[in-house]
Amino acid sequence: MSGMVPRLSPCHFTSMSARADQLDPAVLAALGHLELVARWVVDGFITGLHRSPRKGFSVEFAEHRPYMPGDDLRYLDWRIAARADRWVVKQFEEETNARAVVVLDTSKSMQWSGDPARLTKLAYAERLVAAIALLLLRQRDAVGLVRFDAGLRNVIRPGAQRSTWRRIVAALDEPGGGESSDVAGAMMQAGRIVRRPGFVVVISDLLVETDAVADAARTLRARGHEVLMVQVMDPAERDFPEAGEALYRDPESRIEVPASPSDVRASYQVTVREALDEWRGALGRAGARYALAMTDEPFGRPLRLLVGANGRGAMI
Amino acid sequence: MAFLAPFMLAFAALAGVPLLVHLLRRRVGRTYDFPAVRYLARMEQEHSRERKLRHRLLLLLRILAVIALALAAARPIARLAGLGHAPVSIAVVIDNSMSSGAAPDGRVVLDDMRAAARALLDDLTPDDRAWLVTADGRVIGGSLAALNDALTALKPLGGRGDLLTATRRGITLSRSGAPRSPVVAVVSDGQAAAWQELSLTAGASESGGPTAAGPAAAADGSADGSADGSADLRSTGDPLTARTVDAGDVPVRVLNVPARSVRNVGIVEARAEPARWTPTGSVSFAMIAADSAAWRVALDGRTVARGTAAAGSATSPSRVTQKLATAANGWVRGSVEVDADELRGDDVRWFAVRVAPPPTVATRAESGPFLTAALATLVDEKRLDRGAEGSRGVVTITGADATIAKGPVFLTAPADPVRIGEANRTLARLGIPWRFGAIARDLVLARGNTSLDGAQVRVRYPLQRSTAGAASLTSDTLATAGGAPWIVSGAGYVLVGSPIEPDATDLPLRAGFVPWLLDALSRRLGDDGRILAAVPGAQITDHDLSSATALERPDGSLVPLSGSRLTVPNESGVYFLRRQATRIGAVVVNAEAQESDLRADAPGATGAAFRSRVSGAAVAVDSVPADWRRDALDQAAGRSLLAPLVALALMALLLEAWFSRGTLAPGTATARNASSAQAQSSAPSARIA
Repeated sequence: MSGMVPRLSPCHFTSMSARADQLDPAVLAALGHLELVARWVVDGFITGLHRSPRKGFSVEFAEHRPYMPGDDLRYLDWRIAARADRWVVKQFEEETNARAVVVLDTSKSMQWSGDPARLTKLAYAERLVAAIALLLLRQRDAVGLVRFDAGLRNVIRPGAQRSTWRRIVAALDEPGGGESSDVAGAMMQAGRIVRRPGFVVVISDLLVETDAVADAARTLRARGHEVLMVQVMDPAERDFPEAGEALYRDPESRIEVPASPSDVRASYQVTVREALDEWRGALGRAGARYALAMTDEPFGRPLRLLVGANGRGAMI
Repeated sequence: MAFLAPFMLAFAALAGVPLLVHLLRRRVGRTYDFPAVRYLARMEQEHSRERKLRHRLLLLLRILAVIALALAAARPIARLAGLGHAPVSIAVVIDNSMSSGAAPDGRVVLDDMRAAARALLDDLTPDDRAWLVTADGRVIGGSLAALNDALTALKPLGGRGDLLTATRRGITLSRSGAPRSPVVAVVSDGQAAAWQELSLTAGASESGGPTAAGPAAAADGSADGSADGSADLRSTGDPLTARTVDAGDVPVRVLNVPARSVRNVGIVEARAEPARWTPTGSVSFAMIAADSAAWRVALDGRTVARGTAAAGSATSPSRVTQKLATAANGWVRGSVEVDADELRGDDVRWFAVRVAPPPTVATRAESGPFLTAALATLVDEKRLDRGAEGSRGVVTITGADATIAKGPVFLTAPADPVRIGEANRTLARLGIPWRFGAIARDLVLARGNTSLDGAQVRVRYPLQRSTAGAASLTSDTLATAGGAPWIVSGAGYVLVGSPIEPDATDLPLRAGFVPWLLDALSRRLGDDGRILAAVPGAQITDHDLSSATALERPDGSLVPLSGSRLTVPNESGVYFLRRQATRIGAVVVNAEAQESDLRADAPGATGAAFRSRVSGAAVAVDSVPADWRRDALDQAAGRSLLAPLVALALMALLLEAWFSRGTLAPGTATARNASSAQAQSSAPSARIA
């Protein structure tokens, strides 16, 4: 993927000739500031959505556009087809009726990458947060932000104004790096700043105990909020690549464990899978949705999870 | 278990490397930041037992692989069932003695032996070491191809060789190939005499004078012809001290190629009498033949007599004496021949003779009646001439107490003891480095050559070396009596320590007295030179050889000589000793008489004879080449473990790889590792704390 960098430029994304949400995150991050990247991602993501219409969210008519194979026939303007023998589909503007808070973990464990060529988990998460915020704002939804590590770093109340986007982007530039993650506390804080039922999107590496977070999710669900947990993970944390016999140290707790990846990799991967399954199960039982975002995956994938079908309709 | 390349075992020390790595990994120096340590810790808790078991298994497999490879590199041999044979160190001893040249039914026996040996060589592998050892003790080593070439070029010897010595060498060679299994494979023509002791007296009886020693005599080292007037003649061949061989644990397998009936006619003995023809003499020879056979005698290639001899066997040959005269002068090469038959090697037997005027002697009254009578007899037979005392070349024969101006002299002890002082003064005046000691009147027996041995001595003056200026003069003790020199000779003198009278010694009464006297006058005081009888391939030492400058071959070519040692050529014939252009002696090379006896042993007799000479844990005789071949290679102490050990190492490595890979969870490793390959390659440097 890194080989694509010389061939890309911001004009590619403005002209929509390439979809930024499908590009390698590291490559994309190298091309512009977080704000720009978020715009390219969202633009590309929305373009993709045109070919895969969403169902169930309320809209207002905005304009017509030529029919393209794959468009839902329900949106075909039959009148124009009958009158002018021209096939066009109706496009709608979303209504601003949702309130969402994105909860971002900025602890020290998030500031790690298994490869210099990849984004750290925090950098990836920040761009993802920006994209989510921009996507929501473009839908006229109110969006807020909670940054936390051991405590709360920033709290931005949900708003649909253009200034909200600026505030969020500015907050994302602030430092983090605490020695622990109070995910449950941050979730509860998010629940408090969303006064009516809305969305709480938590983005963290979830290197914490399951129970407290599941309890927090359950509480938020009880208050009527939709909860989506996005676990950000570096591929090295999943695969435990070869690095020789060494002491592996937790940057937050400073706990050290000796290991040789070649020896323990298989067992480690099984353990990771079990841990992820536990998260998925615990959060599912709490009524929350769970998604795994690897830092080497294009941003479009976690975004698609946010807006994808969940059996109850799109989340966002 | 033995190892062909034991130094490679050092690589087994590498087995410690996995262990060392295993131990060193417990002391990790590097530290990486890794946020997912909680997963590692959890994994350690959940999979601890499984991981320990796997670690130990992998460790064992790695150590096993290293050890197996090191062992395989060391090329071990052990007793295991399987195909082929373990690497052997084999010496193939071929009895290419003269008898192997027999060609019954038109097929040469050596060809059968060659085919059997070649089949054995064909069964060998490059891991084996092999040598060919011929009956004359020659060792041929090298690659199998070189051995095959040598086998092709092998010819029958001119004599018997020494199969026992060859076998001994084969045993030594095969042991030198350790740790390969030593084997000695002997292929013989099954001749009854193959393993019998060689008669050492054959040469002496032929020549009527000096003795010779063949390869077998080298082992004995007892051929001493000094007492009959010849120089000390000893073999300096292989220093065998006992005529048996202890093979120990080295298997020795003998193949006797199937015997075929041979009607052999051969000359087993030939000698000229006397040593100097004047110009008459005689040739005595012995023949073996199943029926009467024609013979002819040739001098310098010209047939001078022919006749027919009656049938004779090896134990009782037909003997013929033929008187001859020749117009030649000097050294003559003679032969007794029969018509060609199935064994060509013994169809000609050689002898040498010197044709010259008889020695001239002058006798004084002091020499005594017996000596005077013996000399008269020899003069009558024209073996001696009388001459004037003091003339050139005339030998003066007298008592030592006589007044003598110059040599050469034949002196006896004075009959009157009071004259002993005068005798010693005479000796001193003539420059003879001996003096008569105090008279001894005890009865003792003389010790010397055949003619002198056992002579009774009642009165003697033990000869003593004089001190002044005589130490460097060479002299021979021809006989001893009572442990002291009794008859000695040197340049220009023969000195007897007793009067030649029956009261003093019975020597003048013995039958051998006159021939001995003639020999002493001819050889010791004359210029007859030496005739050395030898068997092909023998090594002889004689101080007369040191006076020769070259050996003249039958074809006239010269081989330079130096020192007193000579390796007798393998071809029979008469080889003259040359001092510059002058012939001063001859080496007569003939095969041993036993080689003409082509009778095969009765079944089992050869084995018994062989076992009586070669002892060991695995000594056996075969008569079928295939059995012999199989038995020889079956003696290999074990099989090569190279292949099993390599297989074991590969299996250990495969298992190690399988265990290493087998712990990856199905479905996760391949797909996800592909996406993280980039991370895997450079992760450590980025994460070092």
